[in-house]
Amino acid sequence: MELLLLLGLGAFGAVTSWIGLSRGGHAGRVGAILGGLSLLGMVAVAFLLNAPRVGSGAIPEGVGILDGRLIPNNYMRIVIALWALDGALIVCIAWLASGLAGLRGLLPAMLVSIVGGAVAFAATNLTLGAAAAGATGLVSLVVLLAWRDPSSIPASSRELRATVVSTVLLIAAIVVAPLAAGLRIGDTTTSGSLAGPTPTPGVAALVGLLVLAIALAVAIRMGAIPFHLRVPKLTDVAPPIALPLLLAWVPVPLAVVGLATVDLLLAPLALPLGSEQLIIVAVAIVTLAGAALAAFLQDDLRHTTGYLVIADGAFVLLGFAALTPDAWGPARTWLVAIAATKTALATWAAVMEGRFGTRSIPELRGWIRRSPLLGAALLVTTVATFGLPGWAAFEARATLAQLTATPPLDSVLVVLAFLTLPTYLRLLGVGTGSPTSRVDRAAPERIVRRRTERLAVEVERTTADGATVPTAAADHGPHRTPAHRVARHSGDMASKGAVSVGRRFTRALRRDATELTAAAVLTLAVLAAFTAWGVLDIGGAASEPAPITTNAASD
Amino acid sequence: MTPALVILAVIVTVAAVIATSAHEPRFAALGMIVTIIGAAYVTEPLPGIVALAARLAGSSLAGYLVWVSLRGAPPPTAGWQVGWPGAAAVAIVAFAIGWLASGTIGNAIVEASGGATAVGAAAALASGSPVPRAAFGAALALTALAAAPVLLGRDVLRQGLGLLLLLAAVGLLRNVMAVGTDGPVELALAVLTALTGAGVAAIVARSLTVHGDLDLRPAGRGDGPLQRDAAHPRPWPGMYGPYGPRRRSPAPTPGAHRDLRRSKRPEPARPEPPSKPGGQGGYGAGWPGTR
Repeated sequence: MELLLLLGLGAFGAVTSWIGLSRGGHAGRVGAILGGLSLLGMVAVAFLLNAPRVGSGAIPEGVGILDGRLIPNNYMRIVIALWALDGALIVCIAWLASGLAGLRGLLPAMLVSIVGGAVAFAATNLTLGAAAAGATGLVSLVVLLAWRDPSSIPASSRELRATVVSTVLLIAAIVVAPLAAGLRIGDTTTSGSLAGPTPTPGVAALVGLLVLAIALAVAIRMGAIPFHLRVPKLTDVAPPIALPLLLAWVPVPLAVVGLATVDLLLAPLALPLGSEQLIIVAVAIVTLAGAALAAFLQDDLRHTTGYLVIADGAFVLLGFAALTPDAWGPARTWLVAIAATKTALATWAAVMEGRFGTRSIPELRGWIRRSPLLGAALLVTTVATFGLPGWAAFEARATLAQLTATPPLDSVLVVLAFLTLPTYLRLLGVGTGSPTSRVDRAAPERIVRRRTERLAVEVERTTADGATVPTAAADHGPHRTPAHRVARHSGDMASKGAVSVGRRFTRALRRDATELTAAAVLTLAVLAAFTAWGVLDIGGAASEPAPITTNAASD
Repeated sequence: MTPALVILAVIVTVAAVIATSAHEPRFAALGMIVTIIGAAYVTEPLPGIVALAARLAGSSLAGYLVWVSLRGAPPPTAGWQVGWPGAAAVAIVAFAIGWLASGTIGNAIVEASGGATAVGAAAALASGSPVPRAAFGAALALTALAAAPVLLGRDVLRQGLGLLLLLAAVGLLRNVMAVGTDGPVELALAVLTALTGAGVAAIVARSLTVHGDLDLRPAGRGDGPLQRDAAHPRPWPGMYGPYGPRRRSPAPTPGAHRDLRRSKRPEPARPEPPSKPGGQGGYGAGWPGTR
């Protein structure tokens, strides 16, 4: 029933926030509060979810909903909790940066996407999971069409096309796969293994086409080269704070269902599909190298972010090229890791753009001097992206490379994964230069070294007998100019005039928006680092069989 | 029942031809509605009442939303350039290929699976039942018809209708393969269809609101955000230095910005100061004319 509560909370919050924020005013505030509370409730429910180990035969009665079609599992619990936690922080940042207007479209889309992702992860049927994953992809329209911007129309059309085409490809592959393998429908997974006769070479060709179709669906959804053109255009149009959702999280359910399809229906056949594997690996290599190069050459921060997401997403394709059930765990681990790390990166980019008023990387020179917290966030994000030996993300990447290719190509793949490192170093290096005028006039974080010198003014005082004696030194402290005094008093007076406690509280929060947004980005980066490290046994949860691959209700 | 289902498959294909080739937006939408509603029922045997209701609800809702978004008589669109004869030809060829190939495919699947274990679609196709054949032909026809609007569409309505036709095609493929008619799965597919229809309707409505037509306008040179923002001053940073050609301001166009200010009054002649002392006009004898 906790799963039902999770889905209900998300649906309720999405509907109320969508209606309220569309109307604005008091309804907008109420909708935002209800949506935010729903999001926090989803975080709590996800952490408290009773998620048994799937595949061990220990699923207690009453855990699933919809007559056992949706069964919570450990991987779903962790991913949804992380997704909701990241979402709550992103929503908080959006509100601090733009007020309620910044939540319009973002908050309902975030809640709906989490609901769709939960259904996809908990599904016991491949078609059900694919439909949920496809519906999750449609949330980009909620974000893009929230405002009456002409440029959002072609972007929405591209997103709709990518979502529907990838979903249709995946469902078609799911439908054809069991028959192509000559398997009896419904009997494929009763014992956890495929029980059909040995397929003929003709079927092998068909199975190869199905593998390519599934990989194509995921490649379209993740923006792999040559389907990458929509990503920079999307980053141009979408609100930057919504990019973590659209680029990092929305493709995850479809990729997981695609992996489940390969793992359940195609990989166990152990067919000789060398040509298909070569094609997928080639696409992955081209995407890794091309996207890393494009990210390095770009001067636009949003485009750089988009290409970094594409480059890391290419490693997911290796999970399809491996064509072995052993790739199930590492691929799902890598999916969570890139979602967490790219969320931190995209949020960092959004906050940087809002803080300094530009998305041009050359104009951001010296940004670390102005925003040390954001600098720390990018540093932690970089570490989380590449990981360290022993970390879950690092091992997942190495395992995927080893499962996909034989030496020395596996080492080449691992090295290719580090091609994005120069881009991160460039971003960090740009931040250490001398600040540009844009950076110099941006609001600083308060964690800067204050000047300690005091301006002591000695004022002479005339006594009654006409003698002049010096008074005590008038120490004006750091607020020695009118501007400083105004700045000092503005903090005290920021919440004055508010008619309610809530408004005074929100004004007091927004007074420190600069520091709070930077702290939130740093928190996202730390979460990403924990994810890449493998806390909560993410690697183990990802390696477990999922309901979608173990339940008899699968197609 | 079987002939009716085959006829329904033909009707679905004809409606798809209308959806892709009609110039009138509402006529095209009507074709799409008939297609997605009818495609859900080209199956043998018919699924349970829950699955049927879910399919009907999802398809109807998607079609209704698109229909409503086209209220206000939007202007006719270009449609598919090959016209309805071309679209009909494509559909007929694809339908025929599907019809003729379905038996062969069924036999191949049966042989591949060992012959004895084929169930569902494999058995139905191999036995020569006309309904799966018609459904397969219709699925191929819908896919062929939807390919052009989806891949090359310059019209938000055509692209959206093409995507809905693709969803209908994959539904037909499920009917062909006789994949189980599980209630929740059917409900999920119905929700996906309805949400896709809602997405198409939202884009169409927004396009009509903003542009007044249904044309898909890609960001052109000098108009898109790539050209508008300051992040791309030059194609290759550093090649041209700080004052590259893209940074220079365009040449002035006097015709477009005429100088409408009044002409200045002529400045009065200023007397020359004396250059030497004494005498007429000399230094120390005062300014000329003040004597």
